[in-house]
Amino acid sequence: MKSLTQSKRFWVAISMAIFIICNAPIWWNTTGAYQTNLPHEKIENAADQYLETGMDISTCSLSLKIRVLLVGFSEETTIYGQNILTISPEKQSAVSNVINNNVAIQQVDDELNSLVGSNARGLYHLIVNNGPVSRLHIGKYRHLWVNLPQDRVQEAVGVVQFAYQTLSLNSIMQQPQVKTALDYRLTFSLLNQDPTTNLIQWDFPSLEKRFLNPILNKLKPLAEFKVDSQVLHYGNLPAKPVYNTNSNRYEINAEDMQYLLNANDFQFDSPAYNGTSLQFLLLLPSRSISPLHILDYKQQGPVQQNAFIVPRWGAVYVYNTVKTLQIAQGQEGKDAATHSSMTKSEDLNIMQVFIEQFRVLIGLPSSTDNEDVTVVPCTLDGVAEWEVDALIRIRTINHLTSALHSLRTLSKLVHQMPNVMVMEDVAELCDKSLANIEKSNVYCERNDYDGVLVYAKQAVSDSEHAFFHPSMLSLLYFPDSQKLAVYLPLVLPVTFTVLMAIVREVKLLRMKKKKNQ
Amino acid sequence: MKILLFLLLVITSLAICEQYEFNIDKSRIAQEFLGKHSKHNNNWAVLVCTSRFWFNYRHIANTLSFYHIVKKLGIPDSNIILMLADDVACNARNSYPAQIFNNQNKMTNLYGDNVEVDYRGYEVTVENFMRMMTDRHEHEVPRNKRLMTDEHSNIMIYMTGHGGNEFLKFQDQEEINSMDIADLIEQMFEKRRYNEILLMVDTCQAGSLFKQIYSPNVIAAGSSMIGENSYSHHSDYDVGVAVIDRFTYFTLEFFETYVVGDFKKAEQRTLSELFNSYNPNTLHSTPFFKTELSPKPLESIPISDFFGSDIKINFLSGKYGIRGNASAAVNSEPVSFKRVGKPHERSKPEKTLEYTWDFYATFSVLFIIVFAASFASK
Repeated sequence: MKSLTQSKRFWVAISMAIFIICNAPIWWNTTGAYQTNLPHEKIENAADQYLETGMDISTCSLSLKIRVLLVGFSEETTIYGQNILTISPEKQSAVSNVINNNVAIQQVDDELNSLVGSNARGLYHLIVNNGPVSRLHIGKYRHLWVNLPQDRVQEAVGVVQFAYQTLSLNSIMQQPQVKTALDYRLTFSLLNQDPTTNLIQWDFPSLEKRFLNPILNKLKPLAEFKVDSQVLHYGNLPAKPVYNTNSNRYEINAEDMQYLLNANDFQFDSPAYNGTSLQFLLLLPSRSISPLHILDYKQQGPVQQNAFIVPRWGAVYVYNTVKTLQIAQGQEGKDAATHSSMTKSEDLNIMQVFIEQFRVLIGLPSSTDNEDVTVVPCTLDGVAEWEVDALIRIRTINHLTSALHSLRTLSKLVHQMPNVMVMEDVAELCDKSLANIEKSNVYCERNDYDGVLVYAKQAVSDSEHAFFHPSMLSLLYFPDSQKLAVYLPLVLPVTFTVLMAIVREVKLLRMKKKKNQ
Repeated sequence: MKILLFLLLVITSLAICEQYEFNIDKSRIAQEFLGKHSKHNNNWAVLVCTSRFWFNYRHIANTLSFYHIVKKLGIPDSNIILMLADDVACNARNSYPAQIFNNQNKMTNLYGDNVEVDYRGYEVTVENFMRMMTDRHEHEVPRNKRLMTDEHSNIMIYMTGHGGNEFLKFQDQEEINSMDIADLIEQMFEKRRYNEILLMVDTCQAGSLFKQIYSPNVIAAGSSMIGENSYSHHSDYDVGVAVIDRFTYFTLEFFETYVVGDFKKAEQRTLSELFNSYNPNTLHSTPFFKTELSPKPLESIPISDFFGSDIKINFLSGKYGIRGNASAAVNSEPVSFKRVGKPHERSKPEKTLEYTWDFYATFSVLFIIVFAASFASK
């Protein structure tokens, strides 16, 4: 009688059993979706740490400081509770000279900047000059100035409060016109309705250099901008304009104009670009309906600039060229050819409207928003230093909030849906994003605007890439009953054979044991 | 005997499905809905025809009919994702080449000018549909194939094809399950990719497709209840096949009677009017509506919230006092604004849907078992 361990049958059975037992988990694993380990705990901790409790708002807040500069007041004058900056008497007289003697606001602003300008983002100088009460002026750089007489100097407290509000741009961010993104593509289109009689050309490269590049360069820390232009011919209007004999012009309603995009089959967006695009459309109406004016929603009269913003899309400017206006007014013959390019003043007019629209689209105040203060316009680059600061402040909070939200959502969904695939790349991106959030919060404590922005941008970009990673596809869901129905016909016949073999082996074993006894 | 029992236990435990439990959390709906933004500011439409082949002409006509409704009411092509699984207009059997009609009177050619089909033919797959809904595309996928919605978007989703209990067939070879649809919508909800969704499905047992949906602010309407078929409306003997399904036909009829392509009229009609207009007798099936996920009563939702788009334009009264950089035109180098953001990283070859692998592995294991068992019995 051979012992059990020497029997070949036994070894075959044992090896088969080991094989099946070892492989069953592997097989079961392969039936599910692959999910790598996301840093769930880290994400939850970061969300707890950097989000305000109960709200989805990042706690990262870059601060805004205003220092008050008293000019021309008696020495013992102070303003309660304010951060006072003192400068030498010579400088004081220079400053007060600049404010009192200059008429040109731009000149005052530039000279003040060279005298007492602030260079740090988030730090502003409020110059209170002894003199008859004037409006608050906000310069292009990081200073403001106001005139107050000696007996009303304590009113500066109120001015400071007001300046805080204005400089933080909090009120206008309530209605974002376009998505906050890390890169934008600005497309400028010249839509000429009637190129046969009305061929007007624009020199876009020069417009870009003169008007767009300065502002885009200044906004470069916030996002990447790409500019392109095109000329389109033969566009349609959504409705037929009505001729108004009193004012000698064609009129179209705002309700109709909001369907302008539907009326045309133009592909304004480049299909090759998937980011956020902003469209700027210069519409030259055909001569038969010139001059064309848009009536506002109440139909009380034409809108002031004949231009409008389509939220989330961009802006349109219906432009009646000087030439067509002359023809409409009978100064030139009806059949006078208008093959010409735009004049310098026309260029300026167009770009002033487009820059205004662009500023509003990215969340800056329009030139008529601040009625109680005089905001010095940036003639050169279209955006003031303090406005860039405010955008940085608003956008970092926005970026960090959305990064944390994306990560938290991702972690939640992965828990909730076991059939979503999660590859290592996604986990790596999550880690990167978390690291960047941490870094930006470190810079936030130092109040370093640029540092925070760099890492906040990186954090949001990583978290978005992680969430929208193309590998994160959910496997089709099959109910377990369906899985069983698929596998059972395959497994069941074999199971019986195997089971019977096992039973027989066990019986044999018992018999052997009995014999041995 | 004990081992036998044990194995039986294993098998039965496998069989007992580990069901997901989704309790619709009413508080979540209310909080999300009433909290921040009840008004949308952009509209999107996703129109999906899932079946190919000539005899499914009517599904393509259905989808195109909806396309024309939403387009006429103001949703621009850039906000419409149109998926057509076949190109019947150019089918050799089409006696009206390059034309598609949804009625035997052939008054309107649905495939006339300016129909932008975003996913066509073999591109209409479950995978692409999922990628489109969750926005998880490869980097190269063009803009028109992407659903670029946000938390202010109202989305109207229309699907038609052949379906069954809790599934809808794509291209005669794969299916999307009600659970998949529910999970897709949940993913969109969590990422704040919609404000409200109206899901309309014209297929057999359409109502079963909504069974698993649990995300807030979703209204669903199906052409038939579980266990019912949906039928075509009528055939055209020149075309030779049925040209439209009943549910879609009566939806169109509602729009032609009360809206006539006029946005202002669409604002006056509510979803409840649309839903009540369906008559089970003419439909030959009972329409199914799932409304409990939306906190708003149907009577208060104008159909223009989903069919059509009403984005008010804003006027500015001033212009910015820029004078321009006159010297820049002469002196400065042209500044190039390049996209610096890292191009999308593609490091490892990625796993895609590999169901076959599972089968392969199982088969090989089974083969070894059978082989060994026969060896053992010798």
